[in-house]
Amino acid sequence: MFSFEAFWQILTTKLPVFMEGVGVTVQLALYTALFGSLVGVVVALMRLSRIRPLRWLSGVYIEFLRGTPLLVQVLIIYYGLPQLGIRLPRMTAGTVALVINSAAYMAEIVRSGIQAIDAGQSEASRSLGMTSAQTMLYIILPQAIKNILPAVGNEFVVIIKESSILYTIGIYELTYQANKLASTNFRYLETLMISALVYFVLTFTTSRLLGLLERRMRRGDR
Amino acid sequence: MATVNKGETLIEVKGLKKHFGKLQVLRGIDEQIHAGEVVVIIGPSGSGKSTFLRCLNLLETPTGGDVIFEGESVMKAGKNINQLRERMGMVFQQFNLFPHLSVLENICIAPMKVKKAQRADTELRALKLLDRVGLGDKAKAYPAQLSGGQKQRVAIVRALAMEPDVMLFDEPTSALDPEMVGEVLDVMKSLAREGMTMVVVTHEMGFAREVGDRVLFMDEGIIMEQGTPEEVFGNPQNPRTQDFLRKVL
Repeated sequence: MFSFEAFWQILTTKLPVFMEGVGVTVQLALYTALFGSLVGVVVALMRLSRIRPLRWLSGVYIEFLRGTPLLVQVLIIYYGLPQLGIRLPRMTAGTVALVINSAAYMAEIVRSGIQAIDAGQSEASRSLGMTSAQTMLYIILPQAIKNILPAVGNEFVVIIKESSILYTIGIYELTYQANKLASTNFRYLETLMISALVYFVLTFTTSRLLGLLERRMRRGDR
Repeated sequence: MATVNKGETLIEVKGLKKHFGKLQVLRGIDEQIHAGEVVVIIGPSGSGKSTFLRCLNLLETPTGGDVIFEGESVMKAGKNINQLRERMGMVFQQFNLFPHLSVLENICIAPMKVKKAQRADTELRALKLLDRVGLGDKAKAYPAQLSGGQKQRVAIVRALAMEPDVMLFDEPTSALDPEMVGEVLDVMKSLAREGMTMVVVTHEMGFAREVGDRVLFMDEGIIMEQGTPEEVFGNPQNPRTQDFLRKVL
C-alpha cells in the first residue's frame, strides 16, 4: 500500500538527502548541456564540411553513439578504458560519457537546423565578401540556433533523465541517493516517487525556461 | 585594389561556360562590361541570365572560360574571392535580408566584419544611405516588419555599404507586388545616374529601355543579340529577339 504519511514523512525529514543528489544531477546536466552542445556544433560542422574525411569521421561518431546503449558507453568508459591505461575519476567518466553521447544527438539537431536555413542567406553573406566562417558564425548559426531551440530543450530534458544511468557506476546523483535511502527505510514506492517528482520539477523547469528563451528570441520576426 | 576609370573594361568575360550535369546553361559567353555602364540582360526564363550573373561573382562556379574582374581572374582567385566579392555588390530576387538582424545591422555587418570598419562611422553612413532610399525611419526595424519594396531597398543599401565598383541585380523586382516595383526601380535609376556600373537581369522592359546603356538578349545559354536599347527594342535583328519582344511588350 502506498502510504501518504510515509511519503510526507520521508519528504520532510530526508529532503537534504535528495537535495544532495539533485546537486550532483544538476551539475552533471549542466556540464553535459554545455559541452555536449559545443562538441555537437563542432561535429555538425564536420558533418557539413567539404572535407570528406571529416564528414566520414563525424558520420561514424554520430551513428555509433546513437546506435549503442548509453549504459554500455558508460560502462566502457568507466570500467573498460582503465585497461588501456585511461583511468578517469567516477564523476569525470560519467560526465564524459554523457557529453559524448549527447553531442551525437546535438550534432544531428544542429545539422538539421543549419540545413534548414535558406541557401540565399549564405549567398547574400558571401556576396558581401564575408568568409564562410563569418557567414556561419554571424548569419547561419544564430538563425539555426533559434530554430532548433525546441529540439535542444528536449535534449536537455533527456540529459537530466539519462544522467540517472550513472547510478550504476556509483555516482551519488539523485537516483543513487533515492535508492540508497529506500534500501534502508524499505519504503521503495514512496521514496522513488519522491525522486521521480524531483526529476519532474527539474525537467519541467528546464523546458519552461527554454520556452521563455524561445519566445524572447522570436521577438523581431514572426 | 585596382581603380578603373570610366569607360575602361571592368569585367571581361571570356568563353564562359556552365553546365549542371548534362544541362548546358551557358554555352560560351564573351562580353565586356565597362566602368559606368548600365548593362541590362533580358531573355526568356531558362536562358541562363541569372546563371551568367551568378558566375560573375562566383556564386556559381563556371565549368569553362574565365571572368576577369579589375584585372584579376575570378576563377583563379581562390581565397581572394572574398576580396573580389567585396567590390561586387549583389541584389537578389528574394532580397535575402538577414531576418535575425535589424535593418541597420543588416547594412553594417559586412563593412564591420570584412573591412573592420568602426561601428560609429559605419552606422552613420548606413543611416545616410537609408535616408537616400527613403527608409531613414526604418533603421531599428526588422526585415519581417518591412514590405517587399522596402526590403529590396534595404538590400540595395546593404550592398552599397561595401562601396562596390559594380552592382549586380538578379531580377530585383520579380518578387514584388506590382505597386512596389516603382520604388525599387527609382532607387536603381538614381544609382545609374550617379555613374554606378550596373549589370541588371530583369523583365522590366521599360527600365531596360530607359536606363540601359546596352541591352543583351540571352537565349539558350548565349548572347543572341546586343546593342543600345534603341537598336534592340526598336529594330531587333535576331528572329529569337523579335519573337521574345513580341511576347513581352
